[in-house]
Amino acid sequence: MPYERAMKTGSACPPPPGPGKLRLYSQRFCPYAQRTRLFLAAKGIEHETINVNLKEKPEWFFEKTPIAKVPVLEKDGKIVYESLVCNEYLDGIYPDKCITPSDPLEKARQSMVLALWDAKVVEFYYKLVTAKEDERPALTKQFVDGLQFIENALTQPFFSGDKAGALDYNLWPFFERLCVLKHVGFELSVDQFPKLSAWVERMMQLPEVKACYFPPELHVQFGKTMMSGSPDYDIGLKE
Amino acid sequence: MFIISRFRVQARFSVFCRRYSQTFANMSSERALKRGSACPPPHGPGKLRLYSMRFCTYAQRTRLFLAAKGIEYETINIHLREKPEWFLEKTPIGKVPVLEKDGKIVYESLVCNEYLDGIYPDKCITPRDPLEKARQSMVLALWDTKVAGFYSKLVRGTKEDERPAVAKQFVDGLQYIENALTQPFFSGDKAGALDYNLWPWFERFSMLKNCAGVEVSADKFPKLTAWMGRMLELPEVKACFFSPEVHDQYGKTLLAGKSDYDLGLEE
Repeated sequence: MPYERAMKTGSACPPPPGPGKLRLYSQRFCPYAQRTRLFLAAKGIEHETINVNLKEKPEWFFEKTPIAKVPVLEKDGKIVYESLVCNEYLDGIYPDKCITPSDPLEKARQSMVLALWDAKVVEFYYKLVTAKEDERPALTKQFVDGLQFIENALTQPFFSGDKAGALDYNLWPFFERLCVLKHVGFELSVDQFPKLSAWVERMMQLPEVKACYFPPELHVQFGKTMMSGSPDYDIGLKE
Repeated sequence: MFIISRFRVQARFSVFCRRYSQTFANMSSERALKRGSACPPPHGPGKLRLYSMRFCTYAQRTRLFLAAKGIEYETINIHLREKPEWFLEKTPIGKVPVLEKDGKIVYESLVCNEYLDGIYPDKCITPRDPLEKARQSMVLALWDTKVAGFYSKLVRGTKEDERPAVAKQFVDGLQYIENALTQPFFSGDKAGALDYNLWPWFERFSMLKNCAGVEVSADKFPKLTAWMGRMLELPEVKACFFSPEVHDQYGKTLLAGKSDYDLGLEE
């Protein structure tokens, strides 16, 4: 997919997408935007992407979404933001190949696993990336303890059952980036996390995951620019 | 003589209790269960139970859905500072509201609410149209990002010199919510999911005035003020309502770091 350079402060607002055409505002390394890119790939939805510089946000971006985060979907003048809202919206307007569960209990279960992820894991994930050496043991323990809840929630080949579904795509981007924690001493061990390790292997075989995938080296490279305070959102794009 | 006057005192005391309990609305709630308490036996087959806390805004979202949908259920209140061990078994996040039915547990207020519409499909409150559903979710995301945090800081106690800045952020954030209200209710002509999911904080605005000196004026927020008036007329809102005086009283215990979850319950 031809990615464009991230648009920044001072850039002109791009003209709206043509009638009936879907646009995604994104950022090539954002895990939340990747949730929506995975849904789009899994559902085979054609769309165009405009990448946004999240450190120097364009003024026009705030007009579209006061929260000014990615992902954002735009179609026929309608704007939708928040990754999980975008994903459910996509299933609503493109009902073929529905990924969001329709059973109320299953839908609730998937939402609760994501709530567990938010409450028990994600905070320590981000803290660990920038942790000083003396902070690492405590944060690693909290991260590992939290990840155990996710390991326990995985009772079938995929989080969603026999095939990948909403919860798999909504969790995947963070697992693709676990390599970023290697420098602080965390690796997903098959002893400690046998089910998650096997799930990671299965996910990596899926075409939709491959379509949105960046290799560990690229994630680590981007991560370094983030930590330096000057994120390079265009890493890997040809000059 | 002594016996007659004792009955008179008891009679007066009963009247006082009835009036006092009416001030605290019509909740058949029990005292908040705390650490060391025995795990309550499950509710009967097909019966719904809500784990709650009488003054929790998030739990009130679910109580509003239950009232609006006319669903029968029992309530068990949880002591949120000294949580029972058995509660953390049911939900590792350890917050209310939590729904329990036939061994199935659902937590997170918005998840509970959508789940209720799923298992009790009559009187569906959650919007079906994908764009309307997304719109309502986005207003709640705006609430979370732009308002809720500053609200929380104000009622949990902000240092006096920091208060003006936090108050300004709260008021600026509330403008987004004012702007999102383009019909009599957030959901249209009638109250719906977004109205119930936002209401609990608005019911407590007197706390902002009394705890932090922040007023939500009709001049600055004409649409929200009118909406609040409409919401207060609704039976489901009245069913879950606590008066400003009670909220303020609870607010004081919150500020003191000793939230009184059983405030208003008869001894």
